[in-house]
Amino acid sequence: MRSKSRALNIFFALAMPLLISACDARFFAEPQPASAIGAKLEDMSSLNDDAGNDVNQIVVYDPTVSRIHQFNLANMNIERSLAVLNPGLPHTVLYNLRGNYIIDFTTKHLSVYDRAGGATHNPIRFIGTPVSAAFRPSLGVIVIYDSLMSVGMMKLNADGSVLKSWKGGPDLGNNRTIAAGDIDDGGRLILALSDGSIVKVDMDATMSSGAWTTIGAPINTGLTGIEWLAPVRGRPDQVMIATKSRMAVVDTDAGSLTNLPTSLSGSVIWRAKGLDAHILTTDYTEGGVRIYYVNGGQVLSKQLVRAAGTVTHSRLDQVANNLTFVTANSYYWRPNAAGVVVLSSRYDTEPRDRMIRQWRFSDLDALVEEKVVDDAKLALAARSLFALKTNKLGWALNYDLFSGAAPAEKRGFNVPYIP
Amino acid sequence: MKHLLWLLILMPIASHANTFVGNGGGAGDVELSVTKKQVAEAFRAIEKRKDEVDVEFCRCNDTFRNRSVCEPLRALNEKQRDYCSNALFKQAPEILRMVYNPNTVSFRWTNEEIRVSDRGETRAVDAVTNRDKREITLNLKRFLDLKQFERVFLLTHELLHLTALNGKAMQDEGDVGPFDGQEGGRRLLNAMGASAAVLQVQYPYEIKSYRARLNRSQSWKRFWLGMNFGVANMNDKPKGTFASEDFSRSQLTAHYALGDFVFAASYRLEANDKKVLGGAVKVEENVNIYSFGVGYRMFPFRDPETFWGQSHFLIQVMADYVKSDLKLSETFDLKYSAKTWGGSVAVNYYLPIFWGFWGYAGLSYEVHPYKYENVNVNYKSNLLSQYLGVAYAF
Repeated sequence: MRSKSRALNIFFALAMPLLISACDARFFAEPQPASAIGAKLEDMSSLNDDAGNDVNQIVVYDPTVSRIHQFNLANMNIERSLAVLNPGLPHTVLYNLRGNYIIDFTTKHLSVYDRAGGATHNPIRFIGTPVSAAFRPSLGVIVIYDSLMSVGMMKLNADGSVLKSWKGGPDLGNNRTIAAGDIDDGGRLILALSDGSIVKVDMDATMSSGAWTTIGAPINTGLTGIEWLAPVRGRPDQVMIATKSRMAVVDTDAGSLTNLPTSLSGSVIWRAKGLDAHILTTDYTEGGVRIYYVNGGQVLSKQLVRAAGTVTHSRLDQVANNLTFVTANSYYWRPNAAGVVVLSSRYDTEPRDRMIRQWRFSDLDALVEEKVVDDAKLALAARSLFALKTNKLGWALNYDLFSGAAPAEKRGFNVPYIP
Repeated sequence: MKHLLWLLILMPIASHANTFVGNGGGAGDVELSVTKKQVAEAFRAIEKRKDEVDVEFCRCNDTFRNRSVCEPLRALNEKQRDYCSNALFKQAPEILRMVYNPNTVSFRWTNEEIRVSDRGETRAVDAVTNRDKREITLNLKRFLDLKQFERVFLLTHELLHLTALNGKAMQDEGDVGPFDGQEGGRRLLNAMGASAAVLQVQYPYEIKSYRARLNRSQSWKRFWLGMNFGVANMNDKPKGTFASEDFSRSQLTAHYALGDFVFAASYRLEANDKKVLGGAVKVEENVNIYSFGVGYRMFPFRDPETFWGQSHFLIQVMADYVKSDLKLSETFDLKYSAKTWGGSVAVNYYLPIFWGFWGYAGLSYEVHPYKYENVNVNYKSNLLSQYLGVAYAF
């Protein structure tokens, strides 16, 4: 399905070179990587903790000065700035508000910086390239998955000290390997295996024993090709799973699906975890964008109001009753690195002409529609948007989506660190 | 034109006005020297034609017809004209001897007004001659204000006072040949002076105009204003992405010359702009330097009447107050500033152009280390500057 969507996109790119933007009332997106544990890696931390609370601090890695900056969003001051190992590599950063500690890793290292700035380097060493991570700040656990299908896990105490750690391979016996996974609200690592079964992993016991330690018997889902697994918020006994075309809820305590799997209409164009995990599909018609989510143990869906663009960020918060998207124009003219104006593809890493929209989820009443600053990495919260511009000197903005006020800004924070 | 009298002076004449005379010559020296040369050349031309039958002196010519210098000549009758011409022939050798031999007559400048008594009245004059001392005193300002032919007239008149015609000292009063009356002597002297003054037109190859020499800028002027442009380079390349190694340099200068000593002040702007971080950030730095100090002039060549003789070195030592502004631009601007005190030494070489204008080239060495807060720009090294400039002296 993914190759078909890609072919369709290429068709659009070739057949309609003058199609610019908002006239095309369709969503497009690059689906989240499948076969991953947790979510894709980011060089900015989340603006929510895993309990859904807003976090008033954000940690970003700035490649211009190869440092991690921690912003206090209340006043946009930089609380601290840390020099890191392997400055030339892409970094992933994660943040724990309560412990005020930062986890930073690249393909060549993993470091934990405690609240005092003291660092613990390489409690786990990866051979492959980290591709995804599941982090539960409230539980003090992190699981990292790499390109060689190794799984690393750590248990940290409140101030960021590493209590336990372990790294293992994807083979859980009986010719089964890991297909997808995440940490549920009960603190267990839930893995979807290559045979369509679900296993619950006791991470404490695994780290202590140095071998995979599962809880109970595997759960046979009857689904093949599971490529995505996400926790259900507030339900430590449930996870949602998806294949390319179907989605289901698994009761991990009962050991069965809560209902028959739901077929996904159209093509999957987007998957996101965060507070409330969800999947977007489209059939590429004018009104054909649907969101799939879980509530009450069931897979539900809504047809979304027409809007245009390529999804670059999404956030579903059923408790706060809002759904937020950031979209970019599907195709647009922009200069390439050589300065020649070309028709870009939606796979550009720095999309432009973006809009942020928020709806009240219950009835899809539009609450926010604003233009988003160009050339910036974004982090979403319920009522705010943080943007880190790609400026070399350093420029960060924090928008209040509802007040209409000018954003709070911090400029030039890289300057003292540029040699 | 002022009447020139050789009488007792009622007011004392102040001694030499050029208390501070530099090595480039003092005020009026070039003008006096040129005037003496022209007087000599005029009388050489006169003496050379002593035996020619149809030569006519003591006559005005078309060039000077409407000038006041011709008044004494227009007033002459035929006998007076002949007498004037003969007197020129007779006095030519003595005039030439006085001009060529500096020991026979001395010249003195004064800034004070020269007042003489003339028929019961006191009047100001441009010059006065003391026959006993064989000294001619000239009012500097009035001499400089005269046109060159007027200076020839004046000097010829005064030199003739030191000569004797037919055994009788040439004075302003009394009859002299067909120049009768109380002011007969003056009328003859004026006619002879005017004849020498207008002769340059008749014999331009023998009596040079010395226009270049007279118009050339002279170093004795007190007030100098200048500007120069060049480059300033750090001795050692400074570290830092935003630091600059080279600056363009522009400067406004003012100095006051007291002889060879100089008091100087200047404003200098050293600027640089460049792009860094892959061209994403523009760096602009403007260093404003306010300087004051002293200097000394040195003249490597002695003759102030020549081009090279007016050229000179000026060595300056300055205290510098430095205020520097740094701007980083990348979608937005960030500004930083720094201040410090420092010093500089400069050597300039001035070449005279004309009418008070000068050209100069210079080198300077500047010491003013400084750094900015919150940005990694720290200048520890010193700067060497090279520049070219123009100045006006008055």
